[in-house]
Amino acid sequence: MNAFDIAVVAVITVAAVGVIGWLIYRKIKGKGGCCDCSSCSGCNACRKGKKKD
Amino acid sequence: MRTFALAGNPNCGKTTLFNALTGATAHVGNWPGVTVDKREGVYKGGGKNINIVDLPGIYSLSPYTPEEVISRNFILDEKIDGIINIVDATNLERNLYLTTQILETDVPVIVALNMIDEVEKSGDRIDAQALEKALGVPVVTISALKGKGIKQLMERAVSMPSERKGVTVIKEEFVKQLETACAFYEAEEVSSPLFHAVKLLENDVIELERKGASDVLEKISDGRDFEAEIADRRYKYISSDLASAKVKAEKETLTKSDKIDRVLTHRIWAIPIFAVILFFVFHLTFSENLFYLNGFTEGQAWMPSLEELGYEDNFGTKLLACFYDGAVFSPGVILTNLLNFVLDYINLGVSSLIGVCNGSAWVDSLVCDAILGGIFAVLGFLPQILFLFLGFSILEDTGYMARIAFVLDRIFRRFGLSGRAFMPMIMGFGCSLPAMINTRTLADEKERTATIRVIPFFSCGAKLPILTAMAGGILEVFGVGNVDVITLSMYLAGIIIAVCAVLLMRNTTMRGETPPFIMELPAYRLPAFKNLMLHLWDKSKHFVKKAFTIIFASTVIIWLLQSFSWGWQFLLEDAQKLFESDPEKWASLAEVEGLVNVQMDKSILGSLGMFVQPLFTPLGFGSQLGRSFGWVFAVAAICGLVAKENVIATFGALAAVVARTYIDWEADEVLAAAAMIEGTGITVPAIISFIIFNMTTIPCFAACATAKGELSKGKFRWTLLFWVVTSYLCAACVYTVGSWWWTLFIWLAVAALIITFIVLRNIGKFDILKIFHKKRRK
Repeated sequence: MNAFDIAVVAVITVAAVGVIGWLIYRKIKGKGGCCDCSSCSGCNACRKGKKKD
Repeated sequence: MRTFALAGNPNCGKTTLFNALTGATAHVGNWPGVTVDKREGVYKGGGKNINIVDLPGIYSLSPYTPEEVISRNFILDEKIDGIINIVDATNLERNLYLTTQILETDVPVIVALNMIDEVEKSGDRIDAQALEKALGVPVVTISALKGKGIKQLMERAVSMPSERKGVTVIKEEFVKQLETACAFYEAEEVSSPLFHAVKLLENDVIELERKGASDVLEKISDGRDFEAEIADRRYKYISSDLASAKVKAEKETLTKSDKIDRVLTHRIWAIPIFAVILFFVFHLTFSENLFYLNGFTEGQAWMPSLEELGYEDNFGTKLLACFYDGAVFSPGVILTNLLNFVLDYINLGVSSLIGVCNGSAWVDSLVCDAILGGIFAVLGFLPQILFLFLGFSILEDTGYMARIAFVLDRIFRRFGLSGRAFMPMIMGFGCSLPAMINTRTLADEKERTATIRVIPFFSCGAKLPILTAMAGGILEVFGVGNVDVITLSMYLAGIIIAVCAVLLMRNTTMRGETPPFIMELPAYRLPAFKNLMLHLWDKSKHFVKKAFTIIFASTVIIWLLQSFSWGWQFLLEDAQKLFESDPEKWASLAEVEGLVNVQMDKSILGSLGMFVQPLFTPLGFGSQLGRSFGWVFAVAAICGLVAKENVIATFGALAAVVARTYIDWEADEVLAAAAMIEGTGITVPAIISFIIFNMTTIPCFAACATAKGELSKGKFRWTLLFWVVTSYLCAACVYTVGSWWWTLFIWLAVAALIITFIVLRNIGKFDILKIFHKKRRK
């Protein structure tokens, strides 16, 4: 395992942990209902939208 | 911050105005009922920020529909600074009916006469000043679509006095009754007492819930029902006092829309025309033989391939092959080929870079095979998804889809649904989530539950890669069929399953009357280029975001699970690479492949896959595929539960290790699917069964969460069971009938038994509960 391998693994680990952490954070913050359906501005499905009601 | 609400009839342009005011990109469609809940945005145009609330379209402020309750409660309870009442100027009389009710509130009102450009184009004229004088509130002419008059509208809205007393057009006829009712509400210290008083006279159920209100109504009504009289008075006022503001030009009685409707909503031809239009949308998106220029069958083919024309395999030829290679490709396929052409070179470049940097083989496998392979397998479909949605958006924005809802009502009614259920179903082709939310327009609870349950059967954008890749894989390996025909057939199969499921539900657990379907048909309009581009931009943005987040994380996890054993020992990943790295060490490539196969089956993913594999045996992609890699289809189906794009991303990540025929730098999803098919020896019926299973099984997590929120209590767990059972049975039916044709008779016999049982039960000849009770009594 050379320095390049370690650097690649480090970057990918940070990115993967970051994505998973971000998904968990959104879930905790109540924004996890987003479906990426491209209609966010008109959607009240996630808890973020429901708070406004 | 001041707050203004946008209120008006369905399809009068509220959301278009909302987008124009706030810069939002909320979904706009040329059919009534696009917005089912209120949404907020900020207008920053006039120095100070103003909060804008887009309310769902309503015909009155009476609580006949959930949308009317939402709008009424917001207007009366939220202490807003003003109402911008959007009036469709092409339908002035009908739209002003709501205006007469809004004017009864104590909230400042401004009327926005929208679509004034269309009125002028038709030769009509509206005197806004005369209308303003008659209504007693500001009236501004605008075109929300073209952005005309919006600045003046907001300037006048902001300068309106902050207080206003409600006025009514029915005062003369109901003086005494209104005085008594108003006195009651004033004593109750209710805001907008005149509005409440009129609603009480109309026998409004919300008003009657107030303590003492029914006594007041009894006292003033003398047993008379004022509701119809009030509605009549409102329309008389509009036609006598307000309609004079509109001067109609002399013209033919039939409008352009009427003439087009004579053909497109024809009693016999409407559905065949719809089928042809749908076929062309799919053909232009997926066909690798545009307009069948190269003949309908292989025998009729006359166009030579680039190889036959003597072209050498180089960069230019590969680029040319994106447009033509033995046949002219459709625009959707050309765009997909061009994107994949770029993605292939990115993958090759990254692989070369890793080689230059002396990266290990496993780093190359992780980055190129797993991560880039998985992400690119999904991203590669973006052009086709966008092209298909462009087709659907054009059909929707022209107003054609609303006609189809009307045309299909006749057929839907036979299955226990009204034509209104068609709009959420069509939205389901984009994404199940907004479609499930849109079912709020269905008043009947049972019809709504049945519709929510079948929405996932309408293949969403995320399922499209599964259909296209598997169809391409079938063509690549078996040389059977056309990609566009297979894809369209799968879409139609989803619709047929949905119809059968609805029929079954509406005759058993979800029995009930089908509510009448009344929908105002919008005028045909040319789709706005900006709206179309906004739809596509939103779709691409979220697709790319998903590819680099959920798909990225999933492919890394899949790679880890396939590369390590339970003892956390790293396994060999690619037989081809291993053989090439040290050819002298191995006797043959087959020896390395055998070793890799054994090692792969020891991986965490392999052992988990083998554990669940038998479950899928009746569906054709279980134990019969063998233990070496035979589990990949089962694993892909389970990964798809997180997000459906994961199915093909899993193939992309695993393809390089499953089949040596797969060239890993060509991150082509069709080749990945072909590699899976060749590597496992799966049959065509089993592939179709795999597609059907993924189309009809439990949708992604986000769709499940929405279904849970939209369904009434206790219905969600049955819905989950319904999805699992339906997908399993349908996939098993397809596999068994496709493999052994005579099993069709067994399935038909079972179906006949079920139908007989349902019919007997429904006509009261057979009641299982009665039989059960009789036995217990004995």
